[in-house]
Amino acid sequence: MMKLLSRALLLGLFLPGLALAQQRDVPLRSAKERQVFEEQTAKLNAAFGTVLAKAASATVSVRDAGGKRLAFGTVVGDGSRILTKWSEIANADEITIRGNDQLVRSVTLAGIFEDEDIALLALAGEPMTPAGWTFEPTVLGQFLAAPQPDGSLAGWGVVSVLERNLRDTDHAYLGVTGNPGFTGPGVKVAEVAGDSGAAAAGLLPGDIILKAGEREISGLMELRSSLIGRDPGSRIELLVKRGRNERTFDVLLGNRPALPQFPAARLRQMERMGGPISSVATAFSRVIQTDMRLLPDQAGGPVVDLEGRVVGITLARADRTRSFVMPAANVNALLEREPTPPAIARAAADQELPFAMAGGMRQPMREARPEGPQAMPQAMPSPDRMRRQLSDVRRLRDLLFEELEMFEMLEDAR
Amino acid sequence: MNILPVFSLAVSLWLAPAGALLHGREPAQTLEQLVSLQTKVSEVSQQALPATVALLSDETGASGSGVITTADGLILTAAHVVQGASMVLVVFPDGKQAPGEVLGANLSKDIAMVRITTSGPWPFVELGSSRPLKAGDWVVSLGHSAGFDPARTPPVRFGRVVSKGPGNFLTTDCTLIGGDSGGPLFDLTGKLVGIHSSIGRSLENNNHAGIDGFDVDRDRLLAGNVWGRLTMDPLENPERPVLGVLTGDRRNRNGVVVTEIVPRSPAGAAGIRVGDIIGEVDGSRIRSLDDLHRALAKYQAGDAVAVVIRREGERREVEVALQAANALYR
Repeated sequence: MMKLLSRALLLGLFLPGLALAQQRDVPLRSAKERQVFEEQTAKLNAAFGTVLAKAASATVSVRDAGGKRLAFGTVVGDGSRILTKWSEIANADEITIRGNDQLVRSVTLAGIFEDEDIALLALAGEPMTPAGWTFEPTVLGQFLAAPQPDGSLAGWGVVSVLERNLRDTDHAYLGVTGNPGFTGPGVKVAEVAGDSGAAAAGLLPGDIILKAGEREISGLMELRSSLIGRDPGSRIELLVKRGRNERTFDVLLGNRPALPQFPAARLRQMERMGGPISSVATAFSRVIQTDMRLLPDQAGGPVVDLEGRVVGITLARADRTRSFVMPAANVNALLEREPTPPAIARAAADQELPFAMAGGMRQPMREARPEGPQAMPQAMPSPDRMRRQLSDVRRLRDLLFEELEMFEMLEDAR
Repeated sequence: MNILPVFSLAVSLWLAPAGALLHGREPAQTLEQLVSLQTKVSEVSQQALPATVALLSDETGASGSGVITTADGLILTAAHVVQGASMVLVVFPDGKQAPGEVLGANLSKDIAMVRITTSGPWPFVELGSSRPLKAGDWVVSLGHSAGFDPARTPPVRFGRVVSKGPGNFLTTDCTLIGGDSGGPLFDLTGKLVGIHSSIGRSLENNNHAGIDGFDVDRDRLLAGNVWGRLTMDPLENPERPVLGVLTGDRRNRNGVVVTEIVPRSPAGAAGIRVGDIIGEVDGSRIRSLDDLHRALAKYQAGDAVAVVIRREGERREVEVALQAANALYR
């Protein structure tokens, strides 16, 4: 909607000597401290173990042809379907699952919910035990635990942030930027986006927004906050000071435009400190944020409360501090929808990928091929080709990040 | 900023076993205990949330967190969040914003103060105590991770004390990331016990400035003084606790050999002499000068530690009241 401040923010967190890759876990930890911690961890894991049993029977390992675990899965519906993490399994040729009973079963890819990065698998043969959901909303600080198929603990954490939508474009958009030098109260409009509701309603640069709805606006941050919870397509009344007069504008809220977000090198470095993260970890439509520690190949499984009821499924390990869980109600709503058939999802992925992050870099590779640039519409790609492209994109993304990081570190060092 | 690597040597210490039941150490081995723990974490989170603010500086481009500790808006934060700024924008979890004046900062402890300049009353938290915290004590952490985000409240993280030291710092497994700096760490009663400062690579390496560090510095911080040096290397910290001895660097099976006693040093006052071999510090065995540094780094100036020495083959135990290096060597 508007720029926070005139330039990029430096996120405060002190990284002592990290450039030299100081690896020792916790430098000053004594043997006694380690012992206390580890004994406590063992007891804690055992205590969590008592609530995992039921959900563990609805938890499966999704494996590739070689038996390597790619993700967890959650048995849903009547027990014949399984939800899992699409981007983690998309590269596999053949998929099997292994459940609580250690049996390896074959599954087929039934469809994909691309917007949530979830794949629907169909189980051949006897149904399994489906997840027992709870639709009660979670509360801040509530404990969450994720089982492994064998009933042991995969991870635990607390509810860090209540349910929210991570998709920028689903958020309401006013269409003004504020003047960061203006000390308030209110927000002094610097620019009005041409095709926005604010422009249509007649807002002008220099206007001072004093109230949004019933809420008095102390500044830019509060104006942004005042839009949270409002839907695109709804209207908001703004009290505006123009010159000496106060006027009310009735503004139709739009959808926030999708803006590419590249976190600064330091933040990216910190996101990965402490373990690998999921390659698809943003833009989910509804998540509970938790500090649960998961591995990327543990996403897709159920998450329970302390009564053993399934509150949702894990969507991603997003960074050092957070994982995302899709709430049970949204999982069930998803199951009401028709998933995209695998072939179409793959075709869409094939078309999207060249325009994604690696857009400028894929082009020369394509031109280097003997057949030259393709002028004809592309045929439906083979799964093989899609897999190659996915791994290309991942490689390129990592390279890009590394280069950016080196670049920014040089800048820092200057 | 280029900072030297921290604690590069791999040695583990053995501290004297801790006494009875520890402060805040709630047991968690049954489901009932987990439920009771969960209730506390939830209460602390909800209570602490309104007072956990984001601090943004247009002067330095910095973005961190802070926590309000009085109704009139006294904010505690990390020194490196406000370094170089005279004013900051204070943003509440609901987006409300207020101007804040940067007061003082002690860079060695990574602690600082900010005061909201408009009138309150503001939501605030109560101060607790960091000194009694021990490994295994439960703690709740909040902070505006990755900067203020109007779409969410500052994320709650829950964990335990992993290690004490260096000095006033403590380490927990409440995971932190950029933007969390200056944010609050609470005990299970909801009292403020630490301020987020730094991280290492491990998920168990999240460092917080202990809240007690504000006690002796309160007046200077309120007066706007800025001093100290930002580093987590205990040997770089001018306020590090010392015995006041020089030692031979050769390794000795029994410990390190004292070659000189610094005038007016706490070691001298405790009766340590040249030629004594320091073999233990508060139960930790000392085999090298590095062991000694690491053992002392877990304490603070003013702490009394039991030091075991050998003199002419005889074992003696003395108690030494540690002194700040910059006070002894000035």
